[in-house]
Amino acid sequence: MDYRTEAHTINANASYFILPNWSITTDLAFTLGRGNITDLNFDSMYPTGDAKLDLDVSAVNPNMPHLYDVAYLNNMDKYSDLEYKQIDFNVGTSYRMDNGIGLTLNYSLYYYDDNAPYVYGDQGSTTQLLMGYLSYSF
Amino acid sequence: MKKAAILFMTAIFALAIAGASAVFAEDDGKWYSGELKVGATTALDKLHGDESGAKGGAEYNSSVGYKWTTYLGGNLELSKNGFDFDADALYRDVDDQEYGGEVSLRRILIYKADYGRFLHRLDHDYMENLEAHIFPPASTGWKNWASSPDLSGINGGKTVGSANVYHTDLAPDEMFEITRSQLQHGVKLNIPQIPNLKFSFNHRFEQRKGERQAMTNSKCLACHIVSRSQKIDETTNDINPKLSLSIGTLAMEFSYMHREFDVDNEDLTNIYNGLKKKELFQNRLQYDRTTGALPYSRTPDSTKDTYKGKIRWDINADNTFVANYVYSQSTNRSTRGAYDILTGNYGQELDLDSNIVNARFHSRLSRALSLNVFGKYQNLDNENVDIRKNVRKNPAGAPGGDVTLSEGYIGKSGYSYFEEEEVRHSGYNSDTYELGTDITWRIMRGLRLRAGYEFKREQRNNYRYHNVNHSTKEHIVTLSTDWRASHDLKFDFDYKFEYYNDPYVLKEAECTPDGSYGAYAGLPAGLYDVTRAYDPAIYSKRVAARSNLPEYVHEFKFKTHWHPMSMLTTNAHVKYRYANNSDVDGRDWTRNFLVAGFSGTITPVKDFVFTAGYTYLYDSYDSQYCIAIYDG
Repeated sequence: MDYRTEAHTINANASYFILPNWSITTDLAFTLGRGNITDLNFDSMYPTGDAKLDLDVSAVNPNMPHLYDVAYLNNMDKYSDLEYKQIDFNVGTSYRMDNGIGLTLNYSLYYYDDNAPYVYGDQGSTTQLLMGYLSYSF
Repeated sequence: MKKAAILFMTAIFALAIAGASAVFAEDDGKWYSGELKVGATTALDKLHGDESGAKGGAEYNSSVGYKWTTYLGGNLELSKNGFDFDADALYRDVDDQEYGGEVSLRRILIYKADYGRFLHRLDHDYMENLEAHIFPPASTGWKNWASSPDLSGINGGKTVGSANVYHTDLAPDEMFEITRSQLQHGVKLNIPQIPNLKFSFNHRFEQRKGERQAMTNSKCLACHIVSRSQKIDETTNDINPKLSLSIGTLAMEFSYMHREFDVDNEDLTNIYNGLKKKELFQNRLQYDRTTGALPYSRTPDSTKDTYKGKIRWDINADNTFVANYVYSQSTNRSTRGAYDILTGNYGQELDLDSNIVNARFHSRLSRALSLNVFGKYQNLDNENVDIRKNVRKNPAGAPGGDVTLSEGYIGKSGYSYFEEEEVRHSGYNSDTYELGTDITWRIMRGLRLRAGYEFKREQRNNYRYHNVNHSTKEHIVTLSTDWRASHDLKFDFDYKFEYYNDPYVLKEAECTPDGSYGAYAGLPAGLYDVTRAYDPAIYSKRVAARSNLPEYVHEFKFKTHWHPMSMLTTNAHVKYRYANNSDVDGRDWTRNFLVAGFSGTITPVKDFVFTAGYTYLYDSYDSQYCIAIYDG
């Protein structure tokens, strides 16, 4: 059995002083994560001679004629293709006057996309915040 | 302890204010500066009730849970005639606060403190993977039976299958989250009259409060998993005095740390097999419903004491010797009650002792050559625990639910019930020895080569009780170089080879070496005997040794830094690690790990900076698994 995880991460940020007392900054982080199981090779093994376990269930699924068979686990890789995308984005600006009074505004986006929910359900969420404050330096 | 900390902080602040009053009385200029911030945060898109928030940017952000939160912050600096005060504060909401500060009186007395509080959203396991049951539609008493395939035409409508896994989430709508807060503060004393002596005293108080998910098996033991919400109320309290002394070329440091970890939340309890008075499995369990409610998901109270001694001897300008000794004792305080294995009491506190000695000698052999020789010894000694198990035997063919524990077994022919003692030997007990050396050669200006060898032997003292190998010998060879090709271009290259002679392995861990269990062998013998095992069909067929640790490892690392022009800086890095273990039965265990990336910073015009980077991570394990069919 092979268990593989992969992640691609891109980061970028920029800052610019439009004026000596006015700046703008932004940053972005993007991650694409994947995890999956491959190469499952369970040989067929099923109970025989038991009144409850050794039953012919081919009427339900002709491809799975035995009620229990270890080889059925070879299909498990289809449930293991996990994938998520995460984006964290911020942009903000600050302006400061000569008398020590300043204004800062910041916008944040947090995005998490759970493309293949499994044990913990769909963990996707999107939230956005807008923050602002006045400052006074002395 | 908390009161002592508050008194201590109050005393330090009083001292600082008294000192400041005297100092500021002589004020003749601007001796203060600071900033005040007042604002608010609004969630344009808040975390909704159907979003868990346990992953991504919301995981540690409490503000996304409210429509409005405040933004109140600031900092203040005072400095005058040897008195310095620096403090900052930020309050967003009750679960997002940060404060810090430092007071210094002529650098003789320095007091530092910081406090932080944040929220951590936790996962909620809905356990929907625990649905490996097959029931016919007639079994309408089972929740979610309709999700099973329609087997009404199979086996004449009677029970189909006997192995099953089932679950019940008793807190399906609960959002689990923990609030963590921590106060760290300490004082340093530098006595001018004794410049070689320094004293410091630090205190840390951490608190975790909230709710988390706790699981246990239930009425049908491993077949049925039950989940509840558990309140968390835990505190960690550390005190840490330290004394530093230097005499000539000799520097010494002694410290002591005392830690108290206390759990104030109530234990969760569960009545096992509690649905019916005489249920089918009643007499096949070690304890049944008549035993009453039993605790689960417990975290014990504990204490840890650590004593450290460190010595550094600058023999001369070229040779240095450093050694230290650490002794620590961790004590589980929740086991000292009257012996009752069901509540986790063993009539004694359980201790884990650790002794670590390590030493390093550094010598600058010449302008181009330097040498390190180092060694380490570590001993771990964990207490044995006496376990008394209930053994419950039923006669062959005894009907299910025939006798409960409260009814007793006396005078019932063929039944017996008695205690059996067993000593649990800890797998922690070990002795570890390390010895190594490395040499660094500065071949020419800008080019340096380093080579090293390290030997480590880990000896597991209770190996025979845990079915693992006695010892592992580890050989590590390292080779690295850093080359500054020009003023703007630099390369680092590292190679490491690790060889483990007898890596840690669990013997008889899984199936036969050819990867099979063979044919299904039917129900185990002694069906109504609680001591029965999945034998011989399962356990006796586990003869293959397996491990998830390597026998040998190759690791390569490469880094480069290029600064081609004043406006551009670039970096690139690659790390590749290949690990293999062929010293196991069946297929080799292997791991491939790669992380690579690059980044760059550009400043095309004054006042504009742009940085970007990319990282790729790849991690792959290849191992052998065998699955057995467990029946009921």
